[in-house]
Amino acid sequence: MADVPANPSSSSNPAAAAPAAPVAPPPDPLIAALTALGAEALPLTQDLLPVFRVERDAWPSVARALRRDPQLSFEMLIDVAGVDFPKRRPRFEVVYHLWSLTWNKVIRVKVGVPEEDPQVASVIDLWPTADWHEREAFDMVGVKFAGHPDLRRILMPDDYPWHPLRKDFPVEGIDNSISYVKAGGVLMTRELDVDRPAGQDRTPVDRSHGDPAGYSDGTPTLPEEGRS
Amino acid sequence: MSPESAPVLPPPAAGAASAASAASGAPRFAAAVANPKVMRHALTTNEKLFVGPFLKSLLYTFSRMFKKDITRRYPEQKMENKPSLHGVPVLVMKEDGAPRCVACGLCEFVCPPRAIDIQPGETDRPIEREPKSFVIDMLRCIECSYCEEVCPEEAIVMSTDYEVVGRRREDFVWDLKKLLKPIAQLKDRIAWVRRTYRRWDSNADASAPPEGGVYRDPRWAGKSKPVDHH
Amino acid sequence: MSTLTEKIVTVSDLPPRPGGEGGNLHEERMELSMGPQHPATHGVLQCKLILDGEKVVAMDPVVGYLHRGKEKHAEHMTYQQFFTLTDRLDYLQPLANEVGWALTVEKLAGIEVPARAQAIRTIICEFMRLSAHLVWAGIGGVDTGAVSMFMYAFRDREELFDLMDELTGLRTNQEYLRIGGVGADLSPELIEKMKKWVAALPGHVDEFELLLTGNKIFHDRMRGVGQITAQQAIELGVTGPCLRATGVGVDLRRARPYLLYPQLEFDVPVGTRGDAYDRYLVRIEEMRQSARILKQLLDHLPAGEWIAKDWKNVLPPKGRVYTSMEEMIHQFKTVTEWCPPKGEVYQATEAANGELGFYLMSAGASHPYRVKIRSPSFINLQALKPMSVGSYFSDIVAIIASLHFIMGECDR
Ligand code: SF4
Ligand code: SF4
Repeated sequence: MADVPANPSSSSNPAAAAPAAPVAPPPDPLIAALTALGAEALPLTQDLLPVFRVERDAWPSVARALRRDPQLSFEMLIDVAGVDFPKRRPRFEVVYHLWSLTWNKVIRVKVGVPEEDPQVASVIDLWPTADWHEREAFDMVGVKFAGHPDLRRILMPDDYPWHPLRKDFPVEGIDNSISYVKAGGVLMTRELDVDRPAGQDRTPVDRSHGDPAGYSDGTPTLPEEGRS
Repeated sequence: MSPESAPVLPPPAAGAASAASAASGAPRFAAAVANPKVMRHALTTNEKLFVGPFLKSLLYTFSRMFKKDITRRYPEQKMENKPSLHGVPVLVMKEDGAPRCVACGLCEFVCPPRAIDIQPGETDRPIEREPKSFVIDMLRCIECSYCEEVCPEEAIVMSTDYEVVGRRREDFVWDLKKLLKPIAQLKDRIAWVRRTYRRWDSNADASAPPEGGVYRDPRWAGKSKPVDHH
Repeated sequence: MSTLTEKIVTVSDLPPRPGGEGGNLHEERMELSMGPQHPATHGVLQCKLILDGEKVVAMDPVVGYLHRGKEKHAEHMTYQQFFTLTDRLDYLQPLANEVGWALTVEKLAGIEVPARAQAIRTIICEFMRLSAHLVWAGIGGVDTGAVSMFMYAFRDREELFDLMDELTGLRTNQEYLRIGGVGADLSPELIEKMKKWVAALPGHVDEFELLLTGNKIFHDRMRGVGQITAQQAIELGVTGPCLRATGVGVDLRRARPYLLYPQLEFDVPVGTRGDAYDRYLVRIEEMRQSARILKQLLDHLPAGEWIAKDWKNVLPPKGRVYTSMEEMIHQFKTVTEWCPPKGEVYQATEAANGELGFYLMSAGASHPYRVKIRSPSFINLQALKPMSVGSYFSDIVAIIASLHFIMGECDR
């Protein structure tokens, strides 16, 4: 087999695609630029990454700026995590971690998503890697990503009716030996103590003292339709 | 965690230094470090003909026949037992035949796969509490040694027995009778536990736990009488 | 970009074949399911393929067969217990996953780890990188037809496991790390054994190269196969050796340093073309660099404690627990209700396959509020589609071998 020609961009800097010569290093400009776009800077956490909260409606424009603005140029989307806060409004939060290869800087951006309309704009056109990240967040927490071309479940079976990383989903799981599609959405739950030795109730210690990020009472949610 | 708090190692080379400066926020760090490119050599005529390399690797494989055999023939030839080996956890039986365990439940709490089940009961011995039943499901146990590390009475230790077989699932549910091993058999491991979990305190009194809830703290020596709960 | 994320599921979704759909096998496109039990898919990965003759027209990797709900379990386990689950993420490098989790929790709780413990952690990280790369070399050899590679690579890996056995007590899934340090000290005899193994390794890597690098069959299977550009790799979030093979010298040990890496001397090898052959060469060179790092560390291992002297976060000395009520209470409190402060931490380490990140959210309780594992295998697997579409069917095996993902880590 003949050897293929070298990639034109392979030997050069990955950031070469962004316009050359970034204007200024962005420690504070970063915060200023994002605040101007409507992001709210949150207090630092233990890992000292800059944290921002963005309104759901402003997120598409902020994401575009984060990716395309040469002063920001966050080329890589590292991680998308969906988090459930049963007692908070909005209930869900989608947490993005972005990495600028130009500046070697990581930031965290949080977008709140209400329970009534669990939908947030997809960033797949800016970072194609968001494809599976967003499918996973949809699968686990049930946040839908508007504009995602193929929002299917990825880790759980396609006809699985629940979103397991919601706080009201029991860790033991809910019996799924029947197909919910065939049973017309009727739930069949079973006793969950079959293979657990007796007396091993290890209720975790909760010192959160009424933090809004509290824990739910454990009632299972009603099943939703499996696919979007 | 900061680089300053770390120990003295050979000073970083020029390449590493430029990487460190890049990490501090200098732009375009990906280009700032000179990375060696891996060599992609084209095939030589000899390699294209394939005969030479073929014979070379054949010769290499053939030469292995005369080298020392490193395979361990397992069932006949056992692994050498190191003191750090984690076999299945067992309970320590004192010379008088009683378990050291006081059924405090700490190992039951810490066991990640929840393999341990303890039913505590009372006893007339000075320790007042002992397990009425103590069951470890060896099919669940992952031999992590957390139970050994947390036990405050040195009552559960890892044995050297790593070959657990059975015909039915019940064979793997070990009860007190199967779990209790005479302390004489566990001497090596107990010594290892005392040495290791002494941690930073090389002066810690690493003697066996006292019987009967009697605490003899050297720091309190002479200040008050040892407390006996009886 | 659209070609990367386009949804293609069945033949009918595709545009019509240029020559028209014929009625016989030579002219019509075929759907083929490879896996989830195919030996070349390294675990339980299913690839739904659409073939036009031998050419792959479309592919859809299906993951999730090994999903065990680790992130859910983490919310119901103590921080120390979760180490046992991180072991089973990338089961070829269990200790490296444990290091990632330990660094995350320690950053959250602000625990200072003594120098010797950091050095031991760096050592086991590099040993685990070698362990993963050795398996990759062995299995990759088998996948591309060099069956004896398996024997030679696994010989070294067995010896490595014997070393880990002596250090931790278990050959794999070791459960060796503790919050604040490690589980046991590295003894001088073991350091000597490790030095011997590390000294022999570069010679063994040369042997692997003797068997593979100049081999025409291997060249034909790997060269120009599964090529992606640097731009594509970054867009797809590919990290680790697969990203470096495209020429981007990004390594978290340099970019966002952790442990003792800032003080160590090592190179980050990069490729030029981003094909399977470059990924092979980069990994082979990384093995030599790991040996170099190990040599520096084993020669200059700092003295001191192997676990932090921290009465509030680490279990107290065992001898005192036996004899003193105060330490006994500490022991019980630390085990059952050790609660780090509220907060959030994202901590990434350079695992053998790329950026292994833990995003930990704590509500101040004895167990995490939310743990998100950023698994490199999961993200790198997205590159399988752009790598395979347009290539030959048999190349998929070589592409999978060179990408090297671990389904346990991918599905979590
Ligand atoms: S060794 Fe680990 S898994 Fe086994 S019983 Fe002890 S704590 Fe449980
Ligand atoms: S921790 Fe020790 S004393 Fe407590 S129940 Fe377990 S074996 Fe018995």
